[in-house]
Amino acid sequence: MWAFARWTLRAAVPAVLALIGSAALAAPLKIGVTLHPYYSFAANIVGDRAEIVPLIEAGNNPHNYTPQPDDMRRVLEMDALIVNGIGHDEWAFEIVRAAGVEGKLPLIYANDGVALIPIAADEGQAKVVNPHTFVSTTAAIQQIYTIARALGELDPDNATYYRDNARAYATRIRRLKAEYTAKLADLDVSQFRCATMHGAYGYLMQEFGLRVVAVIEPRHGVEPTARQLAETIDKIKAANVNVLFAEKYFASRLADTIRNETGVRMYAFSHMSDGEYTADLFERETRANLETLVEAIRAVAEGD
Amino acid sequence: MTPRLEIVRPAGGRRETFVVAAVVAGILAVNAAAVSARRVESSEPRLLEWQISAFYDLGSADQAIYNALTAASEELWWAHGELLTFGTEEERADPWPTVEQLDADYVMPPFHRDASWAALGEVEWQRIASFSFEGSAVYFGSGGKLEGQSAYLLSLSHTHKGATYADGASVWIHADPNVAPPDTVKRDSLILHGWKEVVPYSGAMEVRRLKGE
Repeated sequence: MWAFARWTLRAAVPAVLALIGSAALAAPLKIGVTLHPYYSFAANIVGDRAEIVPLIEAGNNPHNYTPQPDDMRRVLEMDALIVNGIGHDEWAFEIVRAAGVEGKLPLIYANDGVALIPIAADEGQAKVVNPHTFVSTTAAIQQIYTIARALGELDPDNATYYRDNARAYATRIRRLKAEYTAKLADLDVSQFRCATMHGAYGYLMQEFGLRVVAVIEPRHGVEPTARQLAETIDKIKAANVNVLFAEKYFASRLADTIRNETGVRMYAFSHMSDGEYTADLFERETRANLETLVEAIRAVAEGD
Repeated sequence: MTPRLEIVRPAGGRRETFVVAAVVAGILAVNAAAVSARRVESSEPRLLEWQISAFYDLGSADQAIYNALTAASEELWWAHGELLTFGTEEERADPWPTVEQLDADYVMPPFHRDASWAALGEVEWQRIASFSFEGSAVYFGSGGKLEGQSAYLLSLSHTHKGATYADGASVWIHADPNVAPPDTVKRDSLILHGWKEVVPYSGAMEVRRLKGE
């Protein structure tokens, strides 16, 4: 009897330990993200084989975020953190430092392979890097590939799955762009001259072959002085700018001032940093931006 | 009474001038040492004569096409791997997507012919080489209609690093948008025929600049 019990125990303990071990091994990775588009990118890459955790709660402005104690708790639970790293989420590095995981938590720099461009309309001035690579399709796809590759290295068993998902997602994004470029095909873009409040749309406009004549904010997230605003208004008038893209979720008195001074048409783009974190946010907001772009170009072309 | 002799120094302020000069020299020396000690090497690559910066030197259309080629190169390598592994015998012998496939099936910029393609100069693309041995391919774009636009070359080949190798891609541009396709993509030959290699200012470089890593 005792012999049987001992034998059962001897057989069962390793089996239970193996089960516990495999469960621990099979625990899905927790991948942190700093910005909304990175949530969408990562969620579409990993499917149900990893968990995506936003570093900061929805509803905060990533331009002027102040780290909170809860952020440190979240970062401690992450297996890796996807960052923009080129100026749009510097607060994330403060959180990582404060939590004591600097150098320990793998950071995935989404922009590592992206060829950066300057903030639009910087001609004649010192060129400043535009960190909004995520408001685009081409630079977004480049980041999706970089993230998929890095996640595959962290989780080799799922590397092929991640890569295949990344490719399918990239194809969907390209088809989305193709849908709107088809709408632009018959429109006359020769009279379209735009300015943007925020320097976030350079990558998007450039891939459509469109040029941003002026950016109102002199630097990222910085409102212009009265003198800079007056100079910008002069520039808008001189360059015959007829469309101003403001920010969808940020009211701006400046935009109204400029419209009143210059008579430009006003539209609003999404900066993709508002609302809940969802897998479809990037595609949804990109579609909305492209819809707005087509509407603005059509209005100029048809003289509405 | 013995006359008292007193030497009076001229009121020229020579001594004060010397002291002030010494203090100024001291401050300059300390500053120079501090600047030298805190100097951060630029994270930007030094360009060679036959290279050009994507960030500083390219016009908007060239920049957009360069960025599209950079993103395309990653997926082209994946497509190449799949054709080599799962393709038919014919595909394995010619394991790179054709320009027609990149346009119609992959919908891939800058090869896909849509309004963006038209706005970026309607560049005509050709695949001028496709090898299965050690995997390499060359895509060539010319005939761009925009003022100041370049001709483009995307060269995909394995980069050997000691005993290992990595999938590499380089983009070259030529100031003449109607230049003939090159006979070879060997670096020296391209340089000799006026091609310049485009060097990006990448996110990795900007991270090094920001973080000093």
